[in-house]
Amino acid sequence: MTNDKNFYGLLAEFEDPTALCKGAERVRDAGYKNWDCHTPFPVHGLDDCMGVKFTRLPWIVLTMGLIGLATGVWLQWWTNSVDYAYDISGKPVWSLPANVPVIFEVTVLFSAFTAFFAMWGINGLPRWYHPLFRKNSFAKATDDGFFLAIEAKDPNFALGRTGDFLNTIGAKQVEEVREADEPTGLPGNVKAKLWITAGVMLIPIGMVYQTWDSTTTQPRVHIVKDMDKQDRFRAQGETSFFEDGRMSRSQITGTVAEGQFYEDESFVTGKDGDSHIAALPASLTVDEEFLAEGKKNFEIFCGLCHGNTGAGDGPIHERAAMLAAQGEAKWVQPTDLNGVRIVGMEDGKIFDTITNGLNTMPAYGGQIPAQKRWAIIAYMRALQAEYGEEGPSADELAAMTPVERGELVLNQQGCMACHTTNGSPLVGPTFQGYAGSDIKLTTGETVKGDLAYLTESLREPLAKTREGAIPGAMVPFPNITDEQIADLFEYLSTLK
Amino acid sequence: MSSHPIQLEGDNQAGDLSPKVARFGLGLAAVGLGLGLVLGFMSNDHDAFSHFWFAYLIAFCFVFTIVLGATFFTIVQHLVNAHWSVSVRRLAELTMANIPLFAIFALPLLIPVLSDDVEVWKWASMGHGHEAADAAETAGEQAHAGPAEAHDLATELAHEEHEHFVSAKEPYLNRTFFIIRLFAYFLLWWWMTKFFFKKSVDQDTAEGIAPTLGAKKISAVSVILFAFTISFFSFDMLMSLDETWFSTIFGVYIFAGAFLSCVCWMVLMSKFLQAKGKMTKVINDEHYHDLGKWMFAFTFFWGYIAFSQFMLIWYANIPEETHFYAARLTDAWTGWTWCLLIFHFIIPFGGLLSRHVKRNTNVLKYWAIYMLVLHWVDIYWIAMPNYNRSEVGASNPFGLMEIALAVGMFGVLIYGVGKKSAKQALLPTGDPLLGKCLGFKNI
Repeated sequence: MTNDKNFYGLLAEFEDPTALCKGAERVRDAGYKNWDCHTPFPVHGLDDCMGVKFTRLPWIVLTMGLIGLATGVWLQWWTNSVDYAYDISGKPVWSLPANVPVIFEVTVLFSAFTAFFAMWGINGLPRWYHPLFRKNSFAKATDDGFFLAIEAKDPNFALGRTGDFLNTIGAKQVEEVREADEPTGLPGNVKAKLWITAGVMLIPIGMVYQTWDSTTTQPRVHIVKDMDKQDRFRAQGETSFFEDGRMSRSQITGTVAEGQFYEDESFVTGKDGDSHIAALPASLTVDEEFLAEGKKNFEIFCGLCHGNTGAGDGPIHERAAMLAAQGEAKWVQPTDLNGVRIVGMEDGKIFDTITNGLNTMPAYGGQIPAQKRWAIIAYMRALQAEYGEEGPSADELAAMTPVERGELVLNQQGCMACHTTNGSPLVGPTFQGYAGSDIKLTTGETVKGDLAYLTESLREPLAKTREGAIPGAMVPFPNITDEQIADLFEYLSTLK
Repeated sequence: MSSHPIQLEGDNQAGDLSPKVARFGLGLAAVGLGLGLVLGFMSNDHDAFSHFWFAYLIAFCFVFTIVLGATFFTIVQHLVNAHWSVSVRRLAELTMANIPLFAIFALPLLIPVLSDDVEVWKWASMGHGHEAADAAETAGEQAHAGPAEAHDLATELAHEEHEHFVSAKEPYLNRTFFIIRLFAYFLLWWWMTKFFFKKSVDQDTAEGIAPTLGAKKISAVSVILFAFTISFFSFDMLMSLDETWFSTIFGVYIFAGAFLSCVCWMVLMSKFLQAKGKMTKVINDEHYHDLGKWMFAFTFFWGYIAFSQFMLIWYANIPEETHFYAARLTDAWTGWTWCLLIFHFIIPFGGLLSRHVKRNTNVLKYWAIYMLVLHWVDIYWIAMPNYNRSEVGASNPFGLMEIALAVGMFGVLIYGVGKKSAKQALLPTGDPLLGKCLGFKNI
C-alpha cells in the first residue's frame, strides 16, 4: 500500500506472450489480487497463467435463455388465448407447434443480448478512461506490447518491493502510473448536451402519446397507418379478388360452417322433416333463467309491435293505427299472440315464423340466436298462461250453428288482419258478397266464389291469384280442417 | 511452409491393431448379418421377405449415412481450411474410403427393386407394363384404407389421388432410372472419396503442399455435388418408400443425421485408439471439445430441420403431405415419434450444452454411443412405418432381426475401417496445418 492518493500502480512491459505468461504465473503465485494483463490479441492460456476463474457468463446466458423461452411461451399464450382469443377458421387459440418458431427466436434473442451485454457488464464496459492510458508506452498494447499492471490498492502492494519483483520476473521495463490530478469524468458541458439530446428525443414520443390520449375535432393522426387502416374484406363490399366481384362468400355446398353444426336439426329449423315440432327441443330446460332470457328478448324484438303482453298493441301499432286512422297509412294490426290461433300453434311453427318472418313480420333468424328464439317462445307460452284465450270446448262447438262456428274460425285464424266483412278492402279483399260472386283472375279467367275456391285459397293460395292482389300475400292455412272451411263458407255466405 | 514442420510424438500407426479390428469387424458382420438372415427366413410369413428387406434397408442406411457424413466432413475441412480438425481428419477419411465396400452391400437392395413380390418400394412393382393400373389400384386401396367405417367416396377419391401421384412420378420413379441413379451416386462418391483420400495420403510424404492445394481446389465443387447426391439418395432410398409423399427438406434431414452420427463415430474411434495407446499425443481435450461442439450443433440442427419439416406440413394441413405424420402419430408409432423428440433432441440438447461435458471425453463417449443408437431409431422411424401401412392399427415390427442386421452392418464398417487403416498413419502427418492443430486451444 502507498499513501499517495493519486498513485495508481505499476505497469510492466514484457517481451512477448510467452514472457508475459511466465510473469503472470509468478504474480499469481505471489498472491496479488488487483492486477491485470493487457495484450494486442487474445493470448491462449493466459487465463490459466493469471489464475482467472472460468467465466460465469454461460450460467447467466443459460438463465436468461430459459427466461426467454418462458417469455416466448407466455407471450403467445397470453396474447393468443387469454387477452385476445380470436377464432380463426375454428383453429385452436393455443397450439404449441405454431408457437415454436417465436419461442425459439425469443430464446435466442434473450441469450444473445445477455451474452453481449452481460460480457460488457462483467468487464465494466463501456469505459472511456483508464489511468493506464496516461502512459504513452501503453499505446503499444494495441500493437505489439504485452503489459502487466499491478494496482496500488492491492493489499500486497509495496512500491519498492513490487517494482523489484516485476523486474525479477522478466519485465522489460517498469513504469509508475499516476491518476490525473484533475477530475476524470465527463466534462460538465458534454453531460448537459447528452441530457438535452435525451430530452429532445422524448418530444416525438410525447407527441405520439398526446395524439393517442386526447380528443380532437381534427382527423386523427395515424402514426402507424398500416395498423390503423388495414386492408380487409367488408361484408357486401366489392373486390377484384373473387371472380364474382363480391366480398361476401356464400357457404360452400355440402359444408357446415364452424359452430353451425347441430346434432338436432329441428333446433335451428323448428321442423322435423316437413312438419313443425310441437314442443321445445328436448335439449332445452325451461327454468327461471331461460324465461328471463326469453322475456328480455321478447321485449327487445317482439314487444314493439306485439306489445309486451303479446296483445298486438305495441307502441309501433299505436302510432301506425293513429296514422292509419288519419288516412295516412295502411296498417294491419299485429297478431294477438294470446289469441286462440297462436295458443294452439305448434312451437315449431312459431319458431319458423320468428326465424323466417311471415307476411309483414320480418325475419329475425339473423338477429336472434336459435337458443334465444326458443327462449322467446317459452316466454310467450308463459304470457299465454296468463292472458291466453281458450276456445269453446268440443261440446260447446257441437251445440253451435255452422254460421256461429264459421265466425269463430274467422276470428281465431286471424283472417280479419287482412280481410274485412264490411265491403271496404284492406290488404286483402273484403268478404262482403264473396259467396257466389264472380272473381277475376290474373290469367283473365273468372271463377265463382264457392266452397271449392275458398278451400283452394286456404290450402294453396298461389294456385290462382285474384286480379289486383299481391301474389304471396295470402299464406296457406294447412291446419284448418275441411269442416272448419265448410263452416267458414257458411258464415261468409251470410255476408251479403 | 515446410511440409514437416513438427516432430510428432507417440504411436500414430495402426500397426497390428489394424488386422485385429478388421477381424473383429468381420466376425461382427458375419454373426449379425447371418443371424438377421436366419431370422428373416424364420419370420417370413407370406410377405416375400418384405420385413427382412425393410430391416436390411434400415441397417444399411443407418451405417452408410455415417460413411456419407465422413465424406462431407473431409470435404468441408478442406473447403474452410480448418486447422482444428487435422489430427482427427484421417479418421473421417478412413471411414469415407469404404464407399466401394458399401456399394457391394447396396447390391442386395436391387432384389426388392426388381422383384414383383417384395413390397419395399411399392412404386417399383406398379410402375411397369400393363399391370401398372391394376397394381396402383390395389396399392391405392391399401395405402389409404382408413378406419373400417371410412366412407366409400373418400376411399375412391383417395384412390384416384394416389393413382394420379404415382403416374405423375412414373418418369422418375421407375426401376431403370432408379438403378441408373444409384450407380451414378456410388460412382461419384467413389471417385470423390478416392480423390480426397489419395491427396491426403500423398501429403504425408510429399515435399511442398501441392496435394493439399489440389484437394482444396476440388472441395468447393465437391461439396455442391455432395449436397445434391445425398439429397436425391435420400429421396430415392427412404422418401420413395411412400410413393405419394414428398418433402423437399428431406435430404437435409438425412444429412443432419448423417453428419451427427459421423462425428459420434469419430469420437468413438478416437477414444478407442487412445485406449489402445495410439494418437495419445495428437488428439487432446481441445479436439474432443470441437467434436463435441459438432455433436451439439448437429443435434440441434437435426431438431431444427425435423421441426421445420413437421411444422410446415402440420400448418398447411394438406392431406397429401400430412399422411406421413398422421401414420407416425397414430397407434403404435406415436411412442416412437415422441421418443425421437425427447431422446434425439431435448435430452441430448441439454446434455451436450455444457463445455464440461464436451471436454470430459469419457462422458462424451457415452453421448456418442447414445446418439448413434438414436440415429438408428431415426432411420427406423422413417422407413418402417411404410412396411405395414396398409394394415389398420398396425404394430411396429421391432425385434432381434432389426438389431442383428444393424449390428452386423456396423461390423462391416468396423471391418472396412480396420482394413483401410493398415497402410498409412492414423493422422495426416504431412498436413501443413498439423502444427496449428496440435497447438490449438479453445478460448
